Amino acid sequence: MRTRRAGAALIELAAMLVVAAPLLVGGLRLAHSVSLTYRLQDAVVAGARLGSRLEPDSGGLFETRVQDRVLAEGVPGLLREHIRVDLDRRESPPQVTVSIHGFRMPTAFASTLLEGHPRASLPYMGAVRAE
Amino acid sequence: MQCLSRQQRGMAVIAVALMLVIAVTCLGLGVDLSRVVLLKQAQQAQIEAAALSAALALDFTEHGLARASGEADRAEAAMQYAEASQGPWHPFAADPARTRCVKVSKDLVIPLTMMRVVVQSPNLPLQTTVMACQVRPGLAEIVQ
Repeated sequence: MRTRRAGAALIELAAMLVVAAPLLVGGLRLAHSVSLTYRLQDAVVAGARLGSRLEPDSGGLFETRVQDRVLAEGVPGLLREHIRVDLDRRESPPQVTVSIHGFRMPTAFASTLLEGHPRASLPYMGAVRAE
Repeated sequence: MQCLSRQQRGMAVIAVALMLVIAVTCLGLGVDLSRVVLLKQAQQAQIEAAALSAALALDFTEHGLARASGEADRAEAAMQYAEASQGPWHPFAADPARTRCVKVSKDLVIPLTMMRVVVQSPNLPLQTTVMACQVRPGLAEIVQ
């Protein structure tokens, strides 16, 4: 009788795990993905803020300095090649846009490739600041 | 003995069902809260950009005011004007020649799923407000 009870408990445990384990793993991955999204958004905004104030004559290092600022936020897995910095002078006022490309982000049960998102655009004011 | 065993099995099913209800509720609350936080963050960035662009557009003429207003419209936000960051804020600029600050506000209504039980409402209204002033032509700053 004890063996039968132990067997039943095992089956119940297995059945519960089948449902609970994906819920737990999915929940954890979802939380990780939300945290990454939040940190990425914060990082691109910080990069755009710096870019909007960088003087135009920064030794051709405009893009590198903005990328360094984004990387300084310490988003795990984010590399320099994932960060695109655009300075569009055709806009009025000119816009600095920092966006993420080619970064693979884990989602609840898979992963998704970020292309151009998250992004942050701010008006470029570096040229005036240099005056 | 068999009867007791069946009773115990029933208890396990109830316990699992209860646990699942709690787990799904927690997951739903987490998803709702995450959406609120991420949307608020994205809106803050958008409104900051709009406020800076609007403040930069001010050139102490009616034309500058119209361009500033256009920046707020592009972000689907409301705008107020002031001569200084302390206010007073007006929906229309009385004197374009002295207007150098803008306050851009946007309302966002986030539909909720599980969190509606906690906040007792199917939606969560969020407002983001950013003030920016032109320091000198071509340079604007966010003010708190």
